[in-house]
Amino acid sequence: MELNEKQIQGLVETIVNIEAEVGRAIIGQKEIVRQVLLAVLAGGNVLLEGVPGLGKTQLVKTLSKVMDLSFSRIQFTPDLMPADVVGTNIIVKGQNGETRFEFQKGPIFSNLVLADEINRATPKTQSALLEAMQEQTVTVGKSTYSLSQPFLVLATQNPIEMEGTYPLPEAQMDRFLFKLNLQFPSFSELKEIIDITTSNMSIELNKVVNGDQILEMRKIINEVPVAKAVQEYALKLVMATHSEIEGAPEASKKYIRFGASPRAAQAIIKTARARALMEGRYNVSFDDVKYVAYPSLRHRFFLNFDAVADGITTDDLIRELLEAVKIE
Amino acid sequence: MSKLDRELLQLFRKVRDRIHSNLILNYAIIGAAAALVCSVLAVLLSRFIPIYAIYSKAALGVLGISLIAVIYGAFKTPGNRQVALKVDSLGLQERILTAVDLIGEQSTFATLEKQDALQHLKAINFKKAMPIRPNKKYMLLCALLISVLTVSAFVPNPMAEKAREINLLKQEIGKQQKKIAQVEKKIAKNAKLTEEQKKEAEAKLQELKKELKAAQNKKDIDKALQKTEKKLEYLSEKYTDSKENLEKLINTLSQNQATKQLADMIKNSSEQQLKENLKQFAEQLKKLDKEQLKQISKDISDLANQIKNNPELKQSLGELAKKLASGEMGDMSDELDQLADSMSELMSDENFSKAMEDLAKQLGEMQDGSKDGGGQQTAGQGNGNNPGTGQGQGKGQGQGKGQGGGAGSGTDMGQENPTPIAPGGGIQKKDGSTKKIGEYEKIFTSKTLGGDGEQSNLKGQKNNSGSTDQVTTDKSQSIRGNSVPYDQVMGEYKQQALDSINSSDIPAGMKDLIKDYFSSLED
Repeated sequence: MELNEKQIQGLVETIVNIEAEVGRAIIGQKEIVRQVLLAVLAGGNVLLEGVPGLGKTQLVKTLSKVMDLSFSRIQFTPDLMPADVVGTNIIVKGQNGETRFEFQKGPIFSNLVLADEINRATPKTQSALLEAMQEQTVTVGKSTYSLSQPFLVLATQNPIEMEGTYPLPEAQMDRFLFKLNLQFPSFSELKEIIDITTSNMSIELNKVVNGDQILEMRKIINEVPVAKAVQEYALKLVMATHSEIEGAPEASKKYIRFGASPRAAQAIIKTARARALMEGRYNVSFDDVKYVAYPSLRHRFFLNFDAVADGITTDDLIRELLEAVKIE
Repeated sequence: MSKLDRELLQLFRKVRDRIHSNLILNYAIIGAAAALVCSVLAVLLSRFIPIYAIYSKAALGVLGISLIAVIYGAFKTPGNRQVALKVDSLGLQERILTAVDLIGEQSTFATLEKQDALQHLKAINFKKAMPIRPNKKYMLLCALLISVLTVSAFVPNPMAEKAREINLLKQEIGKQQKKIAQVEKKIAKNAKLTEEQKKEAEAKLQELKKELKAAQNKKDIDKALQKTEKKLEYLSEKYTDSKENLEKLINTLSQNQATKQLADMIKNSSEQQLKENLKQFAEQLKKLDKEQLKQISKDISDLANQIKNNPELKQSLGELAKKLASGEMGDMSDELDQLADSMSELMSDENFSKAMEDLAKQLGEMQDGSKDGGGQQTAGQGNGNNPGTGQGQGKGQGQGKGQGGGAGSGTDMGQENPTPIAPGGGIQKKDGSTKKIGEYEKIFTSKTLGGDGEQSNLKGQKNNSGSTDQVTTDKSQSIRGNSVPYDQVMGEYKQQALDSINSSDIPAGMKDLIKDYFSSLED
């Protein structure tokens, strides 16, 4: 891909502008905004986990506005059917009175799809998202439809109220580039949220980029150079989650049941590149890798009973792995 | 390579050299610290185990290890990645690491990245950010350890004297081993000896080497030398008969004018030349008249009769005498061959005997040398007896040669009589060498003392003042005793001593002291 300096520098500016614009509407949650943005630039789906009312829907809406992308929201419930997500063939009458089947697109045919409370739908419906998330296509009957680009699923799930939910299977979890944990805002942030949302004040958001520009940005990001040592570090990190591999860190051997898939390494490298540009660098650093390691890995390896019993979280373990894997 | 790459590499190499210099310095200081730790431990150990010149060794160790560390560091050039990581650790966020990987690449991103890296690299003040100086922690550790060593040098070491003695002993063993090596070379070069004889002599010397190695003190070294000397003397003596026989043969042949030439030939020629010379001798014999042949025949026959322990030589001389007596001087080849073989064997044996004598002598010299070199005073023992009768001190201590009736026992600070059996007897104490025979020193054991005999009175002049004591001694016949290795009589003496202390009223501690004394003599 032929690039020029101006394009690259323009991209860096654009990223900064997007972040700033989104930040106007989303109070606090700066890291979440940044990480969602990284996922958008790397072309991956995001699983947002947090209690209700933390601004998940608001974040997706804001992003769609700033990036000038179509947006749809699907509220996942136990009675939601796959056809409700991907669409279905319906009988329509033509101008000449003949009847025929016509594919009625579901809400998934948007650039940004908010799959709200994804764990409340049945596995059947959840799996309807699988093809869309990975292949960016939808197959109904014998026909396969491409989704509009850029395509991004932002799913949310509630860590509490697990009754009547269907935890996402490992295969589906692996298809999310990032899993982000939303934290309760600080006092000052909460005050600001209240000030904005409980008054007549409205924030007019500007469109910073469009879909095509985002696709272009993704291509540029893929060109960001990664030093061999940095790449090796990222790969070693993923390898370290496999307790069965010889030389795995002690923490891994003790607490990990299943290690991360190769998609984890892809996710780390892709998003680290995006982060490097976001930071104004033309190279990926170890810090980039460390930064994206948490959202990339936390949903990709599974803890054993010992970890649960010892109160070890995936983030604790990632922290230990980051220390255990030596930079060389 | 682009200009940007060149510029980047140039700067990068400068940084690498700086890091390398620092690395060498730190290797040296780490090496020194490690050596100092070992030195402190060694110094501590030297208070319990004798270690000679520990401080000199420690100093050498520290210098040596530091030098090795410097050389190791000089050859251990840091790799590009290592250098890049080091520079990036100054907050450059892997810009240098990536830039080094991108050397040679011309893409937009690569160029932008390298420019960025170069810009950041130039902005760093390396003199400040990466000063060439040793690690402070190790420097402090070294200073501390040097202080500990310095202070410890002023604390007296109870093992120092012992360490010195051990060192002297080691030096002595080394010297002796060098001398043995020289002797070995001489044996190897000695063309007169057969391979078998060389091996026999070398085996003895190897045994000596082993014993020297295992020696714990000077006495052990002397003992090993004496033992080997004795073995070599024994080897020499084994072949003394051959030597005597050969001398007799030469003497006999020298007496007759006609055979004198042959005697000279035997004396001076080698074994190989002997056969040829005997042939010439046969030719000369043919020219002699009957009377002369008869005389020679008689002489040779007499010689053959004198030889008792070499039947082959006796037979071959007998055959030759018969042949000469018969006057038939035709074919003498069988007789001469037989004689040549016997004589060749004699000569070979004589050579070996001589060589062994020489070796024994050399070992004797080594032994003397070891004593001179060691400078230690050893209590040597001499022995002897006096079969004579006369007047004198029967028993006592005195200076000079023991003179008197009976087998006297005395302490002599004088010169040792070199003959093993000396007139007068006594245990001598002297500096320098004492001729000792055998593995154990020999002591004199009297056979008969104080037997029946005439009484004799000591005569003396009485002064006006003083008292007169008359001492009556037995003018008994003393029988010459034997000099035997002391281990042979040790058991008897020890038993007597033990019986004595058991029957006497002696403190228990003293009893142990006596027992220990006899046990030490048995070692």
